Amino acid sequence: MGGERSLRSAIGLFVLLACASLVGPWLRPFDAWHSDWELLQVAPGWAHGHWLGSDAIGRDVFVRTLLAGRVSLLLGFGAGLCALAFGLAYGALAGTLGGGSERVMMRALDVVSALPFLLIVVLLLTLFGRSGVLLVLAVGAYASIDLARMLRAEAARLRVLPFVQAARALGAGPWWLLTRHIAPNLLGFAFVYLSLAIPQAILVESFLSFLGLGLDEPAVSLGGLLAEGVQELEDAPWVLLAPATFLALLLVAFTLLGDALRARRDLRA
Amino acid sequence: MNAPLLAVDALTLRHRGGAETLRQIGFELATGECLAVLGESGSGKSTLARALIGLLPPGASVSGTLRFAGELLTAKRHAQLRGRRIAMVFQDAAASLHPLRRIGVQLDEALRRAASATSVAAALREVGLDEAAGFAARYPHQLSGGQRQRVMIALALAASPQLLIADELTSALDPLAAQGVLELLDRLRRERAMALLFISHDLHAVRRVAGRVLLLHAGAVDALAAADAFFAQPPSALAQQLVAAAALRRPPAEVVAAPIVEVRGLGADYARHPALREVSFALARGAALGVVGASGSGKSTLARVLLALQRGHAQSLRIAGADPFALSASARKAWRRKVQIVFQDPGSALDPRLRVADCLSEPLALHGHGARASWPQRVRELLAAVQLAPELAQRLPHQLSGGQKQRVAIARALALDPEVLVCDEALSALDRTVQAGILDLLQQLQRERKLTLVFISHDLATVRALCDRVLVLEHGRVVEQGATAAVLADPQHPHTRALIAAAGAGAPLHCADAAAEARPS
Repeated sequence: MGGERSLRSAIGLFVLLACASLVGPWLRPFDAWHSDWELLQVAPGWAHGHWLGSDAIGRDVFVRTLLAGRVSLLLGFGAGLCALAFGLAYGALAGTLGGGSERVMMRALDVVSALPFLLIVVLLLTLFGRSGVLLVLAVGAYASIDLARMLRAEAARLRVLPFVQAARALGAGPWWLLTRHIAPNLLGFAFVYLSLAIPQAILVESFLSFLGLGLDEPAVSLGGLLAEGVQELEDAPWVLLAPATFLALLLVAFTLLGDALRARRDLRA
Repeated sequence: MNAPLLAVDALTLRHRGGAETLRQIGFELATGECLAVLGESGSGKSTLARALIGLLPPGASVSGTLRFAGELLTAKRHAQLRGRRIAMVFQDAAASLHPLRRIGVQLDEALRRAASATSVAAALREVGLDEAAGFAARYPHQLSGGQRQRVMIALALAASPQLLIADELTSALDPLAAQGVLELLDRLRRERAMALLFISHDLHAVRRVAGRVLLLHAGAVDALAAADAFFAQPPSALAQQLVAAAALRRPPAEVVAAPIVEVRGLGADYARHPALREVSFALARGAALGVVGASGSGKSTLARVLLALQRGHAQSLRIAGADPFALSASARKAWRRKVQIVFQDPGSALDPRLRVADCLSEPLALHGHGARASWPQRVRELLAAVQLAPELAQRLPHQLSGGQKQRVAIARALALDPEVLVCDEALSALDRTVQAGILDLLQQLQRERKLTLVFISHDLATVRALCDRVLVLEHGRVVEQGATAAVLADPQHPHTRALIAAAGAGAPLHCADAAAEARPS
């Protein structure tokens, strides 16, 4: 059926991009930070070996794009998992407890989400230095707010279902309900959301890197490459186009994956 | 004689890679006739409905022919007729209406699309919703189940269909609301000379509206007969079984003294509105109390309060020797072993991710019941107690039928040897034949384990079969209570009378003659 096919093509595209970013850099003899002083800003082509051209200081765009893609993917997955852990714990707990504790927890979340995220991240990164771990935690925490809200609603729906009520009638306390019944039944839902949260995290991270708030040199993510590419846009547009295309494809793959997963879930429900 | 409105010939349907869900179905439906389709769950009733309206799941392969008003129905033609000359009303009205738009707006849209000259007020009046009450301005959640079904019918009628397919329309309604909807359908069929295909597992409902009955079994036609003949002399073994199960008999009561449940002046609120007021009753050990009432009368709230799942306030409350609201958390956990519940919907009664064995071990784990190694043995005992094969222990809920799930839910409730078992509409979602099996099981458990039952139901036939005493609720108050036989034979309160009148197997509403005229010989 249509759903199966779009799921397969989304997975295919995703695996292709992931493999390219993992294996791709080894296909070429260039180092990502090595400057080829003979060939500055050469256009894409086969003859000189720089398939996607080189940048202003002669670094290979092909290798750098795939390497940055790898970094972005890692940060995205890290932040996504981080969001899943925070969001699932917080949302499921609030939804399971219900009543006053639920209201207090959700209002607290409203307060946190009202704070300007970017400002806080900038503050944190300046205070504690620009590290990958901090970036992952910050972006993950940001994405977890929405996830916690959705999982809270889903958990509250589960809470009133007969099987949870039956467990309560058997003497199960909130912790038992949370760990045995509610959290396991939220996982499917959470994974669908994860396929939307990861591209969001990648985008936010790219945005931060683009503004120069991302990883420290020499590590570089797609956002960092985009920032470099913009500098050379007039002389060497390929320096921008290569990472931009990779980022776009990555986001498309995740969006398709999320849609296909959601359709599958809806079909089963 | 004119041609039948709908002619189905050798309709066979096979899901991709699966078995045939419909086999060689053939029948005809005349203008103005009502044909009821009966059958157990899984017999292909709903698949037939979907085939007739042309909404089959992808991957299904169909053979056989459908003719509508003499014209062969191709997929394209079917799509043109759907919603116009063939309309369908589903069981779940709440899910079929847009929750955020007023009834009037939704109805207006349907009437406009059908280019109908009827006004919204007239359309509402036709389905018995008084315009003065301002129904057009209400949202779906502000209507009762019966009113929502009426709105669904009004929507289906917007395009003046010649054939209306009603899929389990009244199954989720309480008897009063169901009776109203049935009367409405019957009147519309006569006034509009509209053919009605009425799919149901409820024999009482079928008896009221149907001119003929088509009984499905495992996707094939088991019997096709005029309704009177079907009930008078069931034409097949399955039909006999169904008709017999619908007329359940009451077993001799066996009452033991010493009250185990004693409730004085119990009240409870739901969303700040009083849902129960001044409820008082006492129940002897081993007795069975039926709680009846229309939907919204507070039956389920009573169940939840008796289980201490919801707070209640009472002058005095003793359930299995204690007032649960006065107990400490740990004492209440111990108390919970004695009072258990079985819910209505078997589909959501079991955690979809837990195997039967894990589900039945859960109460044992919660209460540290013996060594872990002894649990599989206990699970086998419990399965045997509810007459399920031990192999089912490894199944997941979606691999079980509705009746099996309900038996597992009962087994789970029995795991801790409770003294009181509350059944909240525990049979209502099941087929008649499955109901009869579970009812036997409950009676047997009641006898063997001296189990006290609080049996909440809107089905008076099962209450009559199972319960010694009955309590009638209306708007959260007890309007009548007493011995079941006495209350049902000689109801004192008007509400009780209305419930009995609505639920009784009274004379069929249907005038078979109208259909007989229209039916081709």
